Amino acid sequence: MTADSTPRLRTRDGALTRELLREPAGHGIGQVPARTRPDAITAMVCGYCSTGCSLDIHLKDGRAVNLTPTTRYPVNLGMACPKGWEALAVLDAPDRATVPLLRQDNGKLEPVGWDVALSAFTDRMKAVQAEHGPESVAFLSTGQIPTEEMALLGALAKFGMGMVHGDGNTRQCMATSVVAYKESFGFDAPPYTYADFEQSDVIVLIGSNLTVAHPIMWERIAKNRNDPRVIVIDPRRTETAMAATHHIPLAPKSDLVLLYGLAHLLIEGDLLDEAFIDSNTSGFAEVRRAMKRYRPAMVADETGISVETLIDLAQMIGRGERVSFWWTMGVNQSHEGVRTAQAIINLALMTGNIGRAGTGANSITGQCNAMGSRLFSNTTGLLGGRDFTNPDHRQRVAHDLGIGVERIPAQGSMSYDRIVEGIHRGTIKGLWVIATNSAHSWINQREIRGLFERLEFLVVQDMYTTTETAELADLVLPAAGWGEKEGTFINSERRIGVIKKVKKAPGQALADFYIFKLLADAWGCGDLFEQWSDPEAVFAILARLSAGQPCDFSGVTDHVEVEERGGVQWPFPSALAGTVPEPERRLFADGRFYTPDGRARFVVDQPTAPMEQTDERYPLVLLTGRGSSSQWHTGTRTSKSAVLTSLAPRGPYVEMNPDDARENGIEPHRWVLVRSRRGTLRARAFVTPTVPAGSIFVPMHDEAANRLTFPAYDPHSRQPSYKHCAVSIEPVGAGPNASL
Amino acid sequence: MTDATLTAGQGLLVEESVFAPSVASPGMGGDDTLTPIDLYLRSQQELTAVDRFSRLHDDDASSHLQPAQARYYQDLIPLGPPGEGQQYAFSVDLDSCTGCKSCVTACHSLNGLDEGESFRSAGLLIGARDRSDGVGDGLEPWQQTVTTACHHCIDPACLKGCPVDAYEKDPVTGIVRHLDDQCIGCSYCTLTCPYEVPRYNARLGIVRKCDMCSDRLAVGEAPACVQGCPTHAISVEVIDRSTALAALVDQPGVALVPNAPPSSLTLPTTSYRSLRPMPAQAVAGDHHSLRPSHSHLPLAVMLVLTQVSVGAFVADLMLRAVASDVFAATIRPYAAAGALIVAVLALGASTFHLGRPLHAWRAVLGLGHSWLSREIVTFSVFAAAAAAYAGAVWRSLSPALVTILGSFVVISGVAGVLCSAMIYAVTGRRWWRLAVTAPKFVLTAAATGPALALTLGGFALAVSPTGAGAVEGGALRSAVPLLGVIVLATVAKLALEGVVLLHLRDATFTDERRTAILLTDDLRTLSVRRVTAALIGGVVLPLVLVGLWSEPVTSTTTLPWSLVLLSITLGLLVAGELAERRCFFSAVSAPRMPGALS
Repeated sequence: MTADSTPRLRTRDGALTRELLREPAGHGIGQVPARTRPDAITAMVCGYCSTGCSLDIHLKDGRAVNLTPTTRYPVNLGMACPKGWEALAVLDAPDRATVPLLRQDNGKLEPVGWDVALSAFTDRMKAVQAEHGPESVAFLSTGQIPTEEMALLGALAKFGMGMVHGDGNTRQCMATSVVAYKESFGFDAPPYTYADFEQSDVIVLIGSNLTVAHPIMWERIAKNRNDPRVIVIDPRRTETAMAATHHIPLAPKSDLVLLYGLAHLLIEGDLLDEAFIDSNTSGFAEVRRAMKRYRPAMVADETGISVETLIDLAQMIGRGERVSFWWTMGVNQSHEGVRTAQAIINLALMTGNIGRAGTGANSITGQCNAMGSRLFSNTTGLLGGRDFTNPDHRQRVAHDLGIGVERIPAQGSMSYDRIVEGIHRGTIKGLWVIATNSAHSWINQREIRGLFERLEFLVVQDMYTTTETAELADLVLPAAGWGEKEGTFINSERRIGVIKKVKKAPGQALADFYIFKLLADAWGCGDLFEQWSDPEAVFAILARLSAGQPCDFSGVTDHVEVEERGGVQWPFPSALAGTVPEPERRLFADGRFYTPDGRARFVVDQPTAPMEQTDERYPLVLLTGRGSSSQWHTGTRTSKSAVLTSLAPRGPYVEMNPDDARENGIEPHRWVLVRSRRGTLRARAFVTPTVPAGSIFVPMHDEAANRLTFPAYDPHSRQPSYKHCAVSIEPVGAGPNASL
Repeated sequence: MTDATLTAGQGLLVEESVFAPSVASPGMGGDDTLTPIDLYLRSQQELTAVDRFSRLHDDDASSHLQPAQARYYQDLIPLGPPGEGQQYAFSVDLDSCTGCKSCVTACHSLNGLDEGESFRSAGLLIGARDRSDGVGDGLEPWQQTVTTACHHCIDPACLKGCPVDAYEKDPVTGIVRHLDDQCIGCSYCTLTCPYEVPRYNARLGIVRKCDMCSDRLAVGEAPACVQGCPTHAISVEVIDRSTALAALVDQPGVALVPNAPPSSLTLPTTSYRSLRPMPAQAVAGDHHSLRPSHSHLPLAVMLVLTQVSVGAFVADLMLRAVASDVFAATIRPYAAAGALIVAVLALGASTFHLGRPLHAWRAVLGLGHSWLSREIVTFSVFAAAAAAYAGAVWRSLSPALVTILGSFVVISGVAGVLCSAMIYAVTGRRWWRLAVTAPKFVLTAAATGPALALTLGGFALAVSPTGAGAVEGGALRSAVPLLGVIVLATVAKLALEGVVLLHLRDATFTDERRTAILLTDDLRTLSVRRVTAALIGGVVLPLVLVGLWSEPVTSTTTLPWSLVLLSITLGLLVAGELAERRCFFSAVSAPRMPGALS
C-alpha cells in the first residue's frame, strides 16, 4: 500500500500526468502549465470593472493563451478577481456575433455582408431622420469600450450624423457621482488614489460591497498597516460588512438622514476642521443651520441605528487622523443619490479629510471605462468634460477637431430615461445601442422591451448575439471585444491604462472603432474623421482636447508611454511631460478646487421618501445588487465561463430574512414568487439573517430583477433608483424541494 | 473579390490566408483594389501587441531569478521542507477571506485545468452570533466563505479506497498525490473522500485532484491558490503530525468548520483559523438545497446482476434440498449456465463504469486495503468458479466435484456481495451504512435469485424430454418454497427501504431526511416504479404461481403459463431492483464541506 511496495506496477508518468505538467514561464512569472507556456508576455488592463487591474497576457506566436495578474502595477499588485482571471475564456463563446445580422421581412435575423449592413444602417437611420427630424435618432453608449472608441462614437453621432441625443449605460452607475462632484468640486473629479486605502486610519464604506464588487480594492485595505477602523454602512450584512470592524445596518434608503445626523454630531461635538472650512470651502453656514434638526434621537428613529452607535461613529470620523469615505451603487442608485453623495463630501470637507494621504470623499466607479465615458463619450457632456451649452467650449472643440462649430449641438443630450421616454412619446424613432444590454439592465424592464419594439429601427452593436437587447434588434453589428482591439480605459482613480489586441476576433466581427469608421464613410461624413485614423491617433486628439481642463493629460504622447509609466493618472499636463511623478497621486493637495472661486461647495437638501412605499399588499423592500464576484452585470460575458458560472448560484434566488420567511410560510430553498406592481419574478428562497427583516435581495444578474424595479430617478442625475421598491413574496409549488 | 469573400464568409470564420501579412494596414495606404471593409477585416486579424510594445517584453524577458510575485507570497510558504514527523498543510485565515473566490480561478488558470475544472472550491456558512464589534448587544447575522481544496489527510480515504494504488502520500511532504497515469477511472475515491476532493474528468477518463502544487513548492514558489489570494488568506505551513493526531483521533465532534464531515474519518490537515467567534449553529449555503447525485447506471446494473447471479446459485442449492430430484437435476445445468451468463453480464457492465477499462487488471493492487479491489477480485474468482461449476454440471462430472465447485461458487459469491456492501459502508454516508446496505444487497439476491432459477427451471422442464413427466409428478409444486422466499424477501426489502421515509418528519435537515425528500420528490417516479415492480413481480405474481401450482397441473397448460408468469416475475423483479439501486446512488446524502448558495 505504501509507495514502495509495488513500484513497478505503478505508472508515475505518461500522457495523463503530463497534462498537468508545469514549467517555468520566465518573464518574471513562475511555473505555468507547460501546454500554455508563453514565448512573450504583454500587459494590459482588465475589461470588467473600474478597478483597472493590469493582467499579464501570456502570448504564444502573438496569441493570448493564458494570463496572470501583473505584479508590478500600482493598482492590483499581482492580484485579480475571478472575472479578471477568466477574461480571455469568454472570448471563445459560441454565441459570439461573427457576422452582421439584418432582420428580414419574415421577422428573422439573417446574416448579411458588412456592405449590406452599412447601407441598411445609413439608409434606415437617414430615412427616420428625414421623416421625423435629426433628433429622432439617438444612441446609447457604454462604459465598456475604450475612450478612443466612445469618443469617435460620440463625435460621429453628433458631429457627423446630426444626432442630438445620446447617453450611456454609465447613467445607471455613475451619473450621481458626476453631478455631485461637479457641483461640489467644480469638476467630475474623484480625488483619490488607491494608496489612500492603505493610508487611512478610518475607512467608511457607504453602499459598497467592496469585497465582492471590487475585491482588488479590498486587497488594498487588507494591506493597510494602521489597523484601520473599517465602517460599512449597508442594510445587508454583506461579505464586506463581515470583514469590517463596524457594520451599520441602517434601514434601506435612510442614508441621507444618517449622514446628516453624523454632520449634526460633528458640528455639535466641535469635531470640525474650522481652518479648512474657512479657507477652502463655501456654504458651510447653511450646513450649520440645516443640520440642526438632525438630532440623534430623530436620526436613530429613522435609520434604526442607536444613538450610542451614532455618537461612536461621529467620534471615529471626527477624531480620525486620516478618514476616507468611499461610496458605490448603494448611494448612486438612489432617488436622492446626488444629495447623499454630497452629504458624504460634506463630511470629508468639514473634517478636512481631503487632499491628504488616506482621506477623501471617494466615489468608486463601476465599469472599466466609466471614467473615460464621463469625460469623452460626448453624450450629455461635450468632449473633455465640457458643456454643449457653453459657446467657448464648442468653439474650442471645433477648433481642435478642425470642424465647423455649427456641427456641434448647442444643447445637451437627453438622459437615458428621457430617451426612453422619447421612444414612448414617439419623438425617438431610431436607436443605436452599443455594448450595453438595456433590455435586461434598464429599470422597469417590461416597459423598455415594449418600447424597443415600437422603434422604427433598432441597431445593436455587441460581441454576442444572445443579449436580451440584441434579440430585439433590426440590425446586429458584430463587435470585437476586449483583447481583440486597442485603446485605453480610465479607472476609478483616474488612471489611464492600455488594452491591446492579443486575440483574433471571430468571423467578421470588427473593433467598434472600425465599425464607427466604416459607418462614417457609409454615412458620407468620413472626411470629418480623417485624423481619427486609429485608436492611437485618437488618443493624441483627446490628449490635445484635454489640455487646460482638470483632466488634462496632454503630457502623455501615446499608448506605449502610458504603458511604460505603469498607467497615467490625470492630471498629467504637458508641464509634467518627461518627468517621473509619484506613481499614485491624489487631487486637491493645495486645497484649491475646480469651482470658479476655487472653494469646494457644501450642498445640502431636504431628504425625501422613496417614491414607492411599502404597504399592506407589497410589504417588503426589494434591494438589488451584485450577486457574486464572478458575475458581471447582465452576464453576457461572465456567463460564458464555466469556472465563473460554477462560482455563482445555479439558478434564480432571492435572499430573505428568517423572520419574513416564517411570516410568509416560506421554507428555505422553496420556490417563491416575488411580485411588484410591475411584474413578477420566480426564484428559490435563500433564507439568511444577512438580509434585514422587511427587505429581500435579488441579484441584478437575474434577468427578471428589473421586471420588479420601480422607475424612480434622482432628480439631479437622472440615475435610476434600483435599490428600493415595494414587493410581496409568496411560496409556490408543493414542498420544500418542489420542482415546478 | 470583395463581395465574393463577404458572401462566402457569412457566418463563418474568415480564413486567415485571405489576409497576407505583407499588406499594409488601413490608414497607411495599401492595395487600391481592397475596400475599407476588407482592410479593416484584415487589420482586425493582425495581432499587434508584441510588435508595438516590444521594448517592454525585452525588459520583462531579461529574466528574473525569482518570480516577481514572490515578494507577496514568500511569507506564506515554509522556508524549507518538513522534518521527521511533520508535513505540509494548508492554512486558511477565515478572518481575511472575504469571498472573492479568486483562489478557485487562480487554481484553474495556473494549473491549466479543463473548462470548469478547479481543485479548489468555495462554500458558504451562514448563521448568527453574539455581537463582536462592541456596538450594541444581541445576535448579529454572520456569514463566512470557506475555501477548500485537498486536505492532504493523515489517513487519506482516497488512498485507502483506491483499488489500483493510484494515490500516494509523499513520505517527506505529506502531500497526497494522485498518479494520473495509474488511475483506471473507477471514481471510487470520489465516494470515499468525505470532502469531494477527487473529481472525475470525463475527457481523460480519470479523476484528478490538488497536489498542493508540489513542484511549485519544491522550487520555492507558492501554490496557485496562495499566489492568487488578494488578502493572503491561504498559506502553506509545516505541521507536526502528532499534534494533529492528538487533536483529531477519537474526537468525533471535531470538524474543520461547522457542517464539515467529522475529521476523525480521514484526519485532514488543513487548519481554518479565526479570532472571531464562529456560531456552532451555522449552516452551509447549500444546506437546504437537494439535488440527486450521480446514479452510476453501470454500477447499479453490476450490483443487481451479481446479486441475481449469486442468488440463483444459492437457489439452485436450495432446490436440491426442497425440490424433487428429477426437477433439481433437470434444472441444474440451465440454472448454472444462466446464472453464469448473468454474472458475466454483470462484470461486463462494471467495465462501463471505468474511465480506462483496459487497465482494470490493476485492481488487484489494492487488495490489502481497498474493498473495491476485494470486490473485483472476489467476483472474478466467483465468475471463474461459476464457469468451472457450469462446465462440470454440463459435462456431468463427478457429483463430489460438482458439490465442491458449487459450494465454492456460493461462498465466493456471497463474499462478493458482502464486499459490495462494504464498498459503500465505508464511505461514511448514513444511508449506506452496513446495517442497511448488507441486508439490502442480500435481499436482492434472495428475491431475484430464486426467480432466475425457477424461470430457467421452467425452461429446462419445457425442453427436457423428462420434463413433462416431472411436471405431472409435482415438480413445480415442490418448488413452492422458493416462491415463498421471493415473497418474503421482497416484502422484507420493501420494508427495509421504507424505513428511511420515516425521516421525512425529522425536525432538522438530517442526511436521512434529505434522502427521504429526494426519494419522494425528485426521484418520485423512479420510486413509484420501483415499488410497483416489486409488488407485482415479487408478491402478486409469485402468489398467483403458488395458486397455479397448488392445483392439479398438466404439462401442456400449466408449464407454458408458469413459464410466462415466471419470466414476467423475473423481469419485474430485476427492473425493480435496478430502480432501487439507482435510487441508492441518487438519493444518498454525502458528507461534504459547506457548499455555496445554489
